[in-house]
Amino acid sequence: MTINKKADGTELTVSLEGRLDTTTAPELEAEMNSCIDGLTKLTFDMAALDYISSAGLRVLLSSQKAMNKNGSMIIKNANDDLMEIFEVTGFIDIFTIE
Amino acid sequence: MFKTVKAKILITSIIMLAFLMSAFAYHTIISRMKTKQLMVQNYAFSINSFAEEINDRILKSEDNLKSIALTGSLYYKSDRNNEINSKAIIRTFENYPETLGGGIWFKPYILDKSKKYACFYAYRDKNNKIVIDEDFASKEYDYPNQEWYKQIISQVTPEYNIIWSKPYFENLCSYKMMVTAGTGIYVDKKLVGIATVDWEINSLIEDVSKMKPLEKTFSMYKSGNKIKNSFALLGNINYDYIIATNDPYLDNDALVGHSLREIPWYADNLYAITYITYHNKKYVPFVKKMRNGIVLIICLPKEEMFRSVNKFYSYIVLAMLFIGIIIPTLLYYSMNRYIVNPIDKLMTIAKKISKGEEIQIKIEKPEEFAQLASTFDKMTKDIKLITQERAKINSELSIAKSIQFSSLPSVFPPFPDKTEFDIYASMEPAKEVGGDFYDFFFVDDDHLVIVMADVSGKGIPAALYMMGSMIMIHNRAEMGGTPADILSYVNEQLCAHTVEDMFVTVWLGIMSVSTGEVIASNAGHEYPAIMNENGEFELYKDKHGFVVGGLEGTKYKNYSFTLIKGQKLYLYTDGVTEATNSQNVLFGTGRMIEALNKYKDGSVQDILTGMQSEIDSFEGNISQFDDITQLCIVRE
Repeated sequence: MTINKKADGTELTVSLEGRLDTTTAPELEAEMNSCIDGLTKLTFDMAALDYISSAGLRVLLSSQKAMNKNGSMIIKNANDDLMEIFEVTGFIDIFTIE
Repeated sequence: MFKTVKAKILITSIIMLAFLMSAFAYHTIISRMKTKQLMVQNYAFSINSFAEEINDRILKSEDNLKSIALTGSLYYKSDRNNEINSKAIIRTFENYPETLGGGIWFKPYILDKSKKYACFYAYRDKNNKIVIDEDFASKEYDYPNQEWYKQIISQVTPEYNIIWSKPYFENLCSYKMMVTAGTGIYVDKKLVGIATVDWEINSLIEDVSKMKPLEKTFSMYKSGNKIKNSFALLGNINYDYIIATNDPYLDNDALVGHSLREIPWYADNLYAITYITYHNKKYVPFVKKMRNGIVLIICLPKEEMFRSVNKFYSYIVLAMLFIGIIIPTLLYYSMNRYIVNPIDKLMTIAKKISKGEEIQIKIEKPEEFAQLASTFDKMTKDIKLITQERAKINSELSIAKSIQFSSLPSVFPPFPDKTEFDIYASMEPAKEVGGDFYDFFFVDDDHLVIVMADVSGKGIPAALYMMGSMIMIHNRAEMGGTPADILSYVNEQLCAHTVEDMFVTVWLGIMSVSTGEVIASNAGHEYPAIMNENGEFELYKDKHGFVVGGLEGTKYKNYSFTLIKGQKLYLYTDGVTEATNSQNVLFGTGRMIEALNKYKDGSVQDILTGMQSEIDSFEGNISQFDDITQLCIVRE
């Protein structure tokens, strides 16, 4: 998986590419832990993300919880497969998906 | 800096081999060539100076000849005093010690109408005393009929040109091979006779034989080495005859006076030839042209000429070969000693260690290997520790796995006295401990609780979370209430007690085994597959709640459906739908439903094993990544 970060002040866009699963989720988690403090807007661009597993959802949930305190989190460009996963797991109600 | 083996080998090989060999080879080739050129020049120079000597003698003889001719004309014009004339001749001979003999020869009857012969001939006797011999003015000798006389007198001009006769055998007094040079005696432009000087050919041959050039090129070669097997040829190219030669392969005396072309190796363009091959030997010809068509050719054997140089350079080549053998040998030796042997040693030890032997590694030098050995030693110990640690973890993990496994109902049929339904469940674990689980139990005589769940992530955390949530669900379910009540409770408990943002997706249903009515709630779990009226499996897109343990205060909704007799309910985790093949294609719900319908008429166990085999053949040789957990229930 490839993680690209683009910061603009306190706003951050994270572009994900490939598969976010048990193997790659810890990588994203480490990345998010290091930069999430003080962000007011966090955007996940999932245009190039093929798959997300429960471990990946966990990282997104952690980020969502952290952002709930002092900002907002947006998920965009999720493909149909991802949307189905969000729907099945109920995450569709938790995340702001554009 | 030069302590390391690598540097040693690099420096030794690069400097010694590349630099030395190539520089030496280049220098050798160039200097050998240049030395040979210089030597040839040197030989040519020494031959030139010898030729100059001969030339000088010719010149002096010719001078002598002119004064003899002058004496002759004076005699003719004066009162013809024989005694004075003889003395004058003797004096000229004294001035020219090179001349063997010579004299004045008047034309017949020119001095005296009654006297045919008139000549004065002087020569050096055995005591090198010059004497006048009057025997030549005899009828026996009859000089006007001698070849040399006829040749010279026919060619002379008033300009005192010098005519060289062909060599001839003088058979009156000296009995020697002679060559005579002559010029005309003119009085008032009238030819009255000729003056001659003689050279004895033997002495010329001797002189030519003495012509042994020296090798005097450079002090590094043996100096003053005489060339032994050279030979020379003195000839006249104007009249094409051999004056003298000392060719070791020819009858030289017989050749005197003959055409130069009778010499087998002779050629007109000899001066342009680098070497000739004569009697299987190579000779370098040096051609020196002198006065009046006289030419001196000296042939030096090539082998002798360059012997010392060749010897010198053959030593160099030998030395280079020696170096070429010594250096690689040394390199090989040092490579073996300093690199290969320690590596072998390490390798042998490594093999033993890998078989479980405990060995202390000791290599003292060279430096790198000493360091490597100690690192290796440390590594061996570390590996041992790590291996022990890992073995411990592995055994703990497998214990965890078996605890996890044993907590799942695994005896089938689980309720042998219940005939209203048949249930079967399986979990095909992946390599790593996962967080899938299923459960089913009666809360009262009629109500069967069915759980299918999947904890986020893998490993020990997921396993612990799974155990916790499984027990919580079980306990809470036994207290009564709808699936939504149970899930809400468990959600609150999990949210309150977990820090790691873990969650679990749960499908929970409570079935009345008597009526077949199922009240269920789905907390973020996969859609169940239920058989429709036609007996075909299809996905039942139920209402989804959020995962359990994700967010506090999540509300769950119940829904219900009824399984009539013969209908089946199939529950699973994402291990089924997300099984992946080598092209990264997911198994998906489509293939799952297909597989279910393929085995729909079989027993619940048949359906699960059938599904497993479909997944296995789909994955091919890709190893299973996630737990594959399935449950199937049928009402009978």
